[in-house]
Amino acid sequence: MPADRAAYAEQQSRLLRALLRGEPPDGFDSANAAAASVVLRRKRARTVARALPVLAHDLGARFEPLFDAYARGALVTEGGGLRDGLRFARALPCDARLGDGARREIALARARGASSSLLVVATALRSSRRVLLVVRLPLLGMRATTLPWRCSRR
Amino acid sequence: MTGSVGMSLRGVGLGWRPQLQAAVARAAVAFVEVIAENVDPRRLPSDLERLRDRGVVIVPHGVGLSLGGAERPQSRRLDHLAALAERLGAPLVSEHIAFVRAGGMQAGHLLPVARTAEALEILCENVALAQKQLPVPLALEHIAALVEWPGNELDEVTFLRELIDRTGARLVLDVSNLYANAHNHGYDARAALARLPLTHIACVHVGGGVHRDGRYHDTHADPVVPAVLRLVEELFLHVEAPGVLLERDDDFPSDAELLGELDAIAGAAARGRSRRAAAAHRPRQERAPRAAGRAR
Repeated sequence: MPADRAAYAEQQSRLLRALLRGEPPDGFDSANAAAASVVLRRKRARTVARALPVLAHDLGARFEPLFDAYARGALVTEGGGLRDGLRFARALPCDARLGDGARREIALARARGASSSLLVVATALRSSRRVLLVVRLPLLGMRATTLPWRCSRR
Repeated sequence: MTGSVGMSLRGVGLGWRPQLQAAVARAAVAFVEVIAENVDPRRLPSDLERLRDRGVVIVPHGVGLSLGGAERPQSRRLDHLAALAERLGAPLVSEHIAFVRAGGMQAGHLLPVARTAEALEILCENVALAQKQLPVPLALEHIAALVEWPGNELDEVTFLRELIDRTGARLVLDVSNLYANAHNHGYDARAALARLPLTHIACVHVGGGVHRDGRYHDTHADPVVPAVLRLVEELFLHVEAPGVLLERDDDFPSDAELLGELDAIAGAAARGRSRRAAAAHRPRQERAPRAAGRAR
């Protein structure tokens, strides 16, 4: 009898989904599964922290709980630490209050990782009261510049 | 495809990571492994090219093939592995007995396969598909797993023996993973070691870890624990195993500390080797009961 790949796929999906969500998978030892689930999220958090180190540093002690909350709900992580990190940054609550360094890092990463060759990313650098503009042009690559914050209001 | 080809790796090796380049150069290791997914065969990092030109053996070590997955291994991933092996002139490639994705989700980590006859059959098929597309022999590494599938029909050693026997693949024996699983799932690591297909080992791995909340975590971010070094000694008491490689992936220590760990591993292997030599010179009647005692 040929092995039933479809049934095994379903079982593996169920286990992985539960571990990613931090819920006990059916039939498995719940304490072991909880430990494995934490390992999965910590590893994912480290990968994101490596891809966006300024963001992780900026959030400090808040990084882990914030990432945990995000990761349990965002199960598809295709694209590696950078894409995962950018999705995490987008999901951050408004009061996360990122510093200019993290905002710059995210804007540059967003421009670099984007699939289209023509792209403009803007972000406010609050403490220096400037706006960072990252422009990606076909053939010319990426250019970043900052403009005074005031200009945009006039 | 038996033991002899596996002997191409010798001495002590180090898992190559960009952060460890200085240590790799200083340690003058005989071989390194690179995480296959992190290296583009069309644009080899210059550090790796230099190592290859110096005659250091470089083995691509995959983490993303998901050979233990219910789906068949992806052809583009196998192409990448094959191209990298050729570019590096590698004598073999290695991958894990694990699944890393399912249902469109990525684990970002190695997850265990079920140890049933059916899951073994799927795994063997996947391994055969990979072997067909790879230009060099494939070695398979068993993982450290915190969860175990309910309804496992085979113990881990029996499962590994069957897998190696049916696929002709060689084994990457990770002594730390063996220690971790034995500790976390309550079996005797030394007895398990003695039952493994020791003549089919292509390479030995050692990684650091930490005991936390009653579990041993194979972190690759902490020092190697003494119990793992004792298992390395035990392994060399049984056989002349091929090269032993240290894996360090995070919280990188100073070069001196890392070189100290490499020395400790070489020392453990040397102790096992000399105990084996001493046992071989002892008269037979004295030797037999000791060997039996060790295997228990």
